[in-house]
Amino acid sequence: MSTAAKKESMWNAFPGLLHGLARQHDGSLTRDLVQNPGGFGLGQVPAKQTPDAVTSMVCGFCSTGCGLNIHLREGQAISLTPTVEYPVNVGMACPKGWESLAVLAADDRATQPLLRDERGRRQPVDWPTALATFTQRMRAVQERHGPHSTAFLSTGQIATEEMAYLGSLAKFGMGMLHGDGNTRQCMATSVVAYKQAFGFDAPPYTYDDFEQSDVIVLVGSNLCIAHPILWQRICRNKRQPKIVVIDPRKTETAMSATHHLPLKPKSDLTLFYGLAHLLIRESWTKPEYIAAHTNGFDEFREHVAAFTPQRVAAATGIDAETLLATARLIHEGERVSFWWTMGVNQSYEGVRAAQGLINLALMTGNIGRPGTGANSITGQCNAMGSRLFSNTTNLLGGRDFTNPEHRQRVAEVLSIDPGKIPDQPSWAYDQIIEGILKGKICGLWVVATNPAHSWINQNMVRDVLSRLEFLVVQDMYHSTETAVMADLLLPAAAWGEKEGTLINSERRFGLIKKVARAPGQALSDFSIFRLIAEEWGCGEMFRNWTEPEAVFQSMKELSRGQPCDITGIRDYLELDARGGVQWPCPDHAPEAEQQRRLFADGRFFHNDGKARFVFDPPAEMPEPPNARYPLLLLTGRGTAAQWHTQTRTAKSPVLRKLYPGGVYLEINPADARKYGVRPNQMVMVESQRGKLSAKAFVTHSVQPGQVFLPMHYEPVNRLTLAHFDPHSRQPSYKNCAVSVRPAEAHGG
Amino acid sequence: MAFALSPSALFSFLGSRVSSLTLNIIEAPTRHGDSPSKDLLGALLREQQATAVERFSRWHETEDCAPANEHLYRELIPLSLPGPGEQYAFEVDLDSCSGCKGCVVACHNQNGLEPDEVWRSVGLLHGGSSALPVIQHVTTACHHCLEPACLEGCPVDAYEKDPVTGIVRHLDDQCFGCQYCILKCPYDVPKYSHSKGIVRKCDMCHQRLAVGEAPACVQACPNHAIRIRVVNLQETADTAEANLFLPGAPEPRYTLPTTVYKTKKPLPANLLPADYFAAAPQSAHWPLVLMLIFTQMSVGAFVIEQLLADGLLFALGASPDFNATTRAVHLPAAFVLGMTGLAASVFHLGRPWLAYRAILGWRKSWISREALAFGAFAGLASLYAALPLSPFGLDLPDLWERRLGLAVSVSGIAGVACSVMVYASTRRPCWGGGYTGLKFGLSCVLLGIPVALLIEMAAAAWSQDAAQNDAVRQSVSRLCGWLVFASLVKLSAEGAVFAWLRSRQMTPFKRTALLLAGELAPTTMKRFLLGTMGGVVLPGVLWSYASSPFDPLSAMLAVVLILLTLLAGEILERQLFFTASVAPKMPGAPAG
Repeated sequence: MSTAAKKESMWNAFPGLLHGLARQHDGSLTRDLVQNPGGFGLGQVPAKQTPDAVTSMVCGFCSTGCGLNIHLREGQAISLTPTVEYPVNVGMACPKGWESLAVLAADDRATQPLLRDERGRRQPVDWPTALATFTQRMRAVQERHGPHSTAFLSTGQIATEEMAYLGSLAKFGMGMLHGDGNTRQCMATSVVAYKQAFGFDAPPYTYDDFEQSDVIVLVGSNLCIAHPILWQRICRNKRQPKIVVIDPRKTETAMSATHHLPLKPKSDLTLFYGLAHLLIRESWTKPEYIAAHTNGFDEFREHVAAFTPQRVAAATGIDAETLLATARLIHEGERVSFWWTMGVNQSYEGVRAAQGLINLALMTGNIGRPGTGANSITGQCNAMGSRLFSNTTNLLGGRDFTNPEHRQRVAEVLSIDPGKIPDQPSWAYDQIIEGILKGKICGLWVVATNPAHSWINQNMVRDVLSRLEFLVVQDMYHSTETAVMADLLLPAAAWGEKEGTLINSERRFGLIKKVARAPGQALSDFSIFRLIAEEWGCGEMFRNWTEPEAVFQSMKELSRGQPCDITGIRDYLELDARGGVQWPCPDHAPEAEQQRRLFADGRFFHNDGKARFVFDPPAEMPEPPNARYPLLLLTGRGTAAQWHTQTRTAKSPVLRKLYPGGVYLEINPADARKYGVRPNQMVMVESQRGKLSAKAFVTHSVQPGQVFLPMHYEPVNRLTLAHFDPHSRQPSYKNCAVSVRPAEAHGG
Repeated sequence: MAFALSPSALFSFLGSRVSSLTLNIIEAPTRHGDSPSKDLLGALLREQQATAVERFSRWHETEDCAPANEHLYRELIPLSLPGPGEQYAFEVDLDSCSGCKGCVVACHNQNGLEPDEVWRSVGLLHGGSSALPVIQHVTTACHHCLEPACLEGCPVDAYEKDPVTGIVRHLDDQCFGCQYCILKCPYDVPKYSHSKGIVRKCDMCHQRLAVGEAPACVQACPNHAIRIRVVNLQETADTAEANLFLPGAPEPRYTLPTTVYKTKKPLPANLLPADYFAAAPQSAHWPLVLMLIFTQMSVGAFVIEQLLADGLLFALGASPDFNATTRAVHLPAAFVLGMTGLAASVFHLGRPWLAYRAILGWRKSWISREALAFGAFAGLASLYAALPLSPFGLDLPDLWERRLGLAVSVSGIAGVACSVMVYASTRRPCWGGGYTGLKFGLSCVLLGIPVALLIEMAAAAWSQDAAQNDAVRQSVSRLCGWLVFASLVKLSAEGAVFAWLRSRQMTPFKRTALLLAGELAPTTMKRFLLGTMGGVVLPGVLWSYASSPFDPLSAMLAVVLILLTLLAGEILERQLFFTASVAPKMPGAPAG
C-alpha cells in the first residue's frame, strides 16, 4: 500500500471510528442473545447454551409426568425443553417444568448435615457424625419407648426405588411399624375408593382419553392451573367435547368449560347421587353392563331413590333443570369420562364422593372404552409410586400387611425373614401426629415433605412436632418450615441429581436421571438410606440394593402377578427407549402400546371380577359457617407457577414473578361490602384455630358466603380444621368456618 | 458400582454398635476410623458428583435434524414476509389462554435471559356478576407498535423498527442504560438489567422467525393461544383509533400497538385488571432526583442573580463593590450546583462511559434535547461564573456580560423546560406538562432565592456596614416574601392531588394520592413539614425580624436553615414525584 493510500484509508477509517462510537450494532451485549441451531431436533437455542448432548427424563413436580429434554454440556444440564415425542406432554411444559433446573441452584440448599446442639442452634456436622447420631438417638427412643415409638413420613416426591428402600429399611430393618406418606394429603381417598370399587388401587385411564372423550366431567379440578398439560390434552380433543366443570368456584377451567355447575361446597356426594337418581329414573343406565360386571347396584338404586331432584337442588344449589340437563349430557355422550382432583379427595367424605363418580361411570358403562372412565388425577410426581411401593399403608407392590401369604411372598422376593415384616398396617399420617401427642411416637423421620406447612391445623402440628424427642428431616433445602424444627437435618440430592423412576397419574413409569451435581455433601436419598442401613447394622438385608436400578429389579419381582405387574420392563434402558411404560406390563406380554387403559374386558380386580357400587348417606360438614365465623374457607392451588409448600418454586426468580408474593384472599364483592373490605385492603382472616392477614382480592369468582385462600402460603393451614375422611384418613382442607375483617387501616 | 463389605469388617462394625447400645446413653457419637460405612460414604459422595447419562444418550444422538416440534407450530406463523403496508404482530386468542404462564418461562429460557428477566407477562381481567363471573387471563409482551414510544424517547437511537417485519428491536450495544424507554412505554415492556446496565426487550424472536421457526412463546403455549400474523398497518391504526385494543389496557392511540387480542366470548363491560386497585410505589431514581433538584437550584440561582443584578426584581440599595463581591460568590456557587446536578445524572446511566451518546436522538428525544440544553448551559455558565474570578481582570464590555448572563439564564430555563418535557411526554397523567412545569419552575424559585439570601447575608455579615445592612434587610424581606408566596403556591399545588382521595373513580391521580397518603405517607409528611418550615415559617420569621436592624450572623444562620430545609423538602418532593407516579401498564395479576 502506498503512503498516500494509507493516509487515505486512515482518513476513511476515522469517520468509521467515530461512527462506531456513536452507533454500535454489534458487541458483547448483542452477542449475548445470539441464537444458533441447537441440533438434536431442538431448533434455535441461545448460542451460549448450545448443548453437546441431549437426554430426556420426566419432570419431578406433579403427577402429569411430562417428558423434558435435558440439554447437556460436558455431562451437566444447562437448559431444558419439553420433549415432543413423549406421549404425555407432546412438546409442552408448564412454568414449573420449564424452571425445574433453576430451582436446584438455591442459597438454601442443604449442603451438609446439621445437628442441633445443646443451645438449640443447628451446627454443621460431618456425615459420620450425622449417621451415628441418627442411629444412636433413634435406637435410644426405641429402647425407651418400644420399637414402635419411632415412625417415618415419606413422600410423593422421591423416586419409587427410594420409597421402596425407605419403607423396607424402616419397617424390615429398623423395626418401625408406623410410616405414612404425604400422599395421604393428596391421593389416599382415590386409593381407597378404587380399592373398594375395583379391588385394586387402579386408575383406569390413559391421557389419550382426554382426547377421545365426548363428555368430560371435571369435579373439584382446576386443570388449567393445577395440570396445565392435561388441559392441553383436552384442547387437543377433536370431538368438540362437552366439558362439565363441577366446582364452587369460577375457576379458569370453569371459565373454559361448556357447562359449569357452581354447587355448594361439599354437596358433591348429594349431587352424584342425584344424577344417579335421574339416570335411573330416565332409564339412562346400561343394565347389561351393570349385570355382567358389577355388584351392589340394586342396593345402590334403593339408596339413590331418595335423592330426588328437589332434595338435591336444595342441597347443592343446582336447579332441577340443570340436574336433568347434566344427566342427559352423561346419557347422550357416547364416551363420557369423569375426572376428579383435590376438590373430591380432600374431603371428609371424599372416598364416597369419588365412588359416587365411579358409580356413575359403572352404571352408564363408561369404563374400559376410549374416552371414558372414572379417573382420579393425581397430585405429586410420584404419588403412585408411593401408593404401590412406599411400604406404608400397603405392603410392597400393592399388597396387604395383614395377609400372611403376601408377607411370605415379599420375604421370598427380598430374601428376608418373613418375621421381619409387620403383620399390621401403619397408622395413617393423622394417627402418627396423634401418636406423637399421646407420647406413643417419640422419634420421627421426615423425608422430602413439609408437614409444618402443609398439615392441617398447623399451629397444633407445630406444637406436636416440637414434642418429639428426636426429629430428623431429610430434604434438599435446610430452610423448609419443618427442616428448621429438626434436631438433625440430612442434606438430600434432588430431582435431576439422581436416578430412579416416577409413576404418573396414568400409571406410566418414567425415568429420572442424574444430570446435575448435588451441592456440597448432599447425597441422593437412595445413598442416605444405604448409609443408614449400614450404620443401623441391617445393611446385609439390602446388600443387593447397591443402586436404584437394583431396587427396580426387585420391584419388578414384587409386582409379578399383581395388577401392577411390570415384569415386562427389562431395565432402565428399555424404559428410556420406550418413552415410559404404563403398568401393567407383564413379562412375555405382546409389545405394549403407548396408550393403554384398564378394564377393556370388563374384568375388575375383585375375586369375582366385578366392580362394586359403594355408597353411604352424605354427611354434614362438621364446621359450617356460623354467627361468629360466617364465611366458608376454601383452599386450593393458586397459580401454575406454585407447587405445594413452595420449597422449590419459591427458589426461581422467574416463577416468583408469576404469583403474588403474599397471601391473598378471594372474596365476593357482596361479602366485601358486608364486612367493610375494600379491594386490595389488608384483611384479617380468622378461624377458631388461628388467624392470618391477607390482601383482599374482591372478585365474583368466589360465591357469596365463601372465601378462597391459595394453599401455598405458609399461614393458610393455621386456619384449617383437622378432620378426615373416615375411610382414607385424608384431611379435608376445603371447608372450615372463618371470619374476615379489615386489618388496621393500611393499603389502598 | 458395587461396594461389597467384607464380613469381618461388618461384624466388628455391628459389634461396636451393640456395645454402645447396651450402654443406652445418648451422647455425642464417637466415630471409629475403620468404620466400614466410611468407605461406602466416600464412594457415595464421589459418585454423587458424577453425572451419569452416557448410557442413555444413544436415543438422542441425531445432532442435525429439523426441530422436532415443527409440526406443532407450522400453522402459527405466517408463510411469507409482510408486504408493503403490513407488518408482523402477535395474535392472542383469549379463549385459549388458560393462564398457565408457560409462555413467560419458555421465553425466559429459550432466549437465555438473566435469572430474573422476563419479556412476557400474564395478567388477569375479572368482572361480570356473581351469577355470571368472568375471569380472563391475558398474555402480553412487546406490542411492536406502529409508533413505538420507546423508540421515540430513546436519546441514543438504540431502537429500530424493522422496515419489513415491523419488529421493534432494541440495539443492546447502543443502549447506555438511561431507562427512559421504561418510562415512555405505556405497556411496561422494556426491562432494565442491573448487571448489564442496559435495557432489553422482546424482539419477537426475530432470529427464529428468520429461519422459519416460531417465537418461543408461540412454540410453548400448550393451547396455541399465541401466534404470529401479518397485520395491515392502516387497520391497526384504525383499530387503535376506535380504542379497540383490550379492556383494562392503556389506550392504544399513543403508540398504536399491533398485538391483536381476539375472543368469541362477549366480555362484560365491567372487566377490570386484577391489580386495578393495587398501587405500588415506583423506583425513586435517586440520580434523577438529585439531577433535577440541583440543576433547578442552579438555574434558579443564576436567574435570581440576573434579576437582582439588573434590578429587575427590585432595586438594591447596595454599593457596586458589595454587589461585585456577592456576584463573585453567587455565580460560581450557582455553577457548582448545576454541575453537581449534571454529574448526578450520569449515575443514572447503566453504562455512564457512553454518556456522550445522549445527544444522538435530538430529533425526537426530550432527553437528548435536555442534554443539549444543559450542555449549552454548562458551557455558558462556566464562562459567566469565571468572569468575576478572572485573575487577569478579564473585562468584558457590560453589554456582552449582560448578554452572556442572559444566555445562561435562557439556556438554563430551556434545560428545565426540556426536563419538564421529558416527563410530560411520557403521558403519565401525574406528570402532565402544566403540573410538572409548575413544580419544576417553582423549585427553581424556591431553591434559587435562599442561595441569593445566603450570599447577601454572608456578605453583609462580612462587611459590617450599617448602610449595607439596611439594604440587605430590605432585600431579605422582599426575597422572604417571594419565598413564602412561591412555597404556598407549590405546596397547595402538590396538596391538591389529595382532593382525588374523595373520588369514587380509581383514576391515576387517585392512585398517586393513595400512595402518598398510604404507603408513602411518612415521606409525604416529611416533605410537607420541611416545605412549610423552610418555605413559610422560617422565611416568615426572618421577614418579621428584617423590619428592624438585626444581627446578620444569626440571620445568616436562619437562612442556612431555610436553605437546608427547603433543599431537603424539594428532594423529598422529587422523590415522591417518581415513587408516587403511577405507570400505565397491561392488566396484571392479583397483588399479594
